[in-house]
Amino acid sequence: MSISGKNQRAHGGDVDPALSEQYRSIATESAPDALDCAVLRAARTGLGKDGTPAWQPDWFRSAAFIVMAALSFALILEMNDANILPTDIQTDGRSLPEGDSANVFQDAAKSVTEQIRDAEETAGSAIQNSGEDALAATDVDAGTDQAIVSPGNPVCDEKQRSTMASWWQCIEALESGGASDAAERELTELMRAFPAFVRPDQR
Amino acid sequence: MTSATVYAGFRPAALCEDGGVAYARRMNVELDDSALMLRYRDGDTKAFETLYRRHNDSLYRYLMRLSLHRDTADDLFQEAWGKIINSRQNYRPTAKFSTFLFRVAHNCFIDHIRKNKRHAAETRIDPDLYATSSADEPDQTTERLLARRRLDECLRRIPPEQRDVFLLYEEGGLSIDEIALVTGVNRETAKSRLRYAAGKLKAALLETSDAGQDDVS
Repeated sequence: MSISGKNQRAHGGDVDPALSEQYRSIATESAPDALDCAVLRAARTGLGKDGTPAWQPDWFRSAAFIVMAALSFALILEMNDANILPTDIQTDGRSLPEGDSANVFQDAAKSVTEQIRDAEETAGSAIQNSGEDALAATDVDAGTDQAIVSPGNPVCDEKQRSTMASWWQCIEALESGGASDAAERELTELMRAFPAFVRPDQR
Repeated sequence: MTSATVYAGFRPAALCEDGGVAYARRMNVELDDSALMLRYRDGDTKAFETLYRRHNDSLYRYLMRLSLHRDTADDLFQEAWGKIINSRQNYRPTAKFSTFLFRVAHNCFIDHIRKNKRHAAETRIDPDLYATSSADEPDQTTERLLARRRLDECLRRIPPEQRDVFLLYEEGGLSIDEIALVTGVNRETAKSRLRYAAGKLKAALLETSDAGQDDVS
């Protein structure tokens, strides 16, 4: 039974039922199959226009979301342990949410962190050792005047530097001891600290 | 609101080869048109196929007899279904789906008339409208074609507005109120048009039938 047949009875009276019957007996055409194909194809591809290709299964979106979330989480953890992120974004690895996947990533991040620390310790000790070796070699070359070689270590102590006279005496001692470079540096410091100082031999 | 839950009209053959989709797929639960459309909106193409199969033939006949031109009917048919497909995201089941569908088709036809004013000035029946299938029996084909030709000639004689209302009533299965909604006129106008169309068509069919019998005798 056609739709029109049902409606004929539902609100009859406007059209003679005999006319409706005659019409329905004549008008029996169907939509061409080519049109059916075209419309149904459009219906299928129409769904793809929303960003969901026809080849994608239903679970694809949720699986892709989970994978993306896990990768992002792991990346943030690694960046956090490597101190790349700003401090306000960094999180404490021990306060991460618990769960199987979280633990897996936490363990992985910890192992990476430990490896980085080991590498840093190894590199640090190597640098320290090479520095000590270089210092020892300098000691051999410079003899007893270790303080002159080390620029951060003043030759004249604070007590000697307290007055112009005592500082000058220290400088003279250095010059007489052969440490002329150190004596010159000390003299420069002295003249900076006491602008009114005049060398006794130039008075 | 009544729902068209008629679950009939499935053709057995799946003729669309490239898609590989079985058209005639009987669902376990008969869903009404709005539910099917909502399912299609959520990505169920099978629901759309079921919905399409319920209305494709009646909509095609509506457009073919409204335009009386096969190519125009083909274009309008695709255009109407295309609009249904594209509007699925905004679809709200506030009215019967067939009302929505035939309203879209009616508007497509009105747009076509506006673009092609020659069509409005003179409607001639397209000879291709009666192209026959080679599978038909010759006698049945001739008889059926003659009957269809008489019907279309009678439909051509009545004004397009009245023809539209009659076809919406017969092919769309719409009530007077729904026809008024689709055509954008008040209820009394729609009812009057339907009454006039039915009267003229009945007289014309009787006249052509008598003339045909006279020719035979």
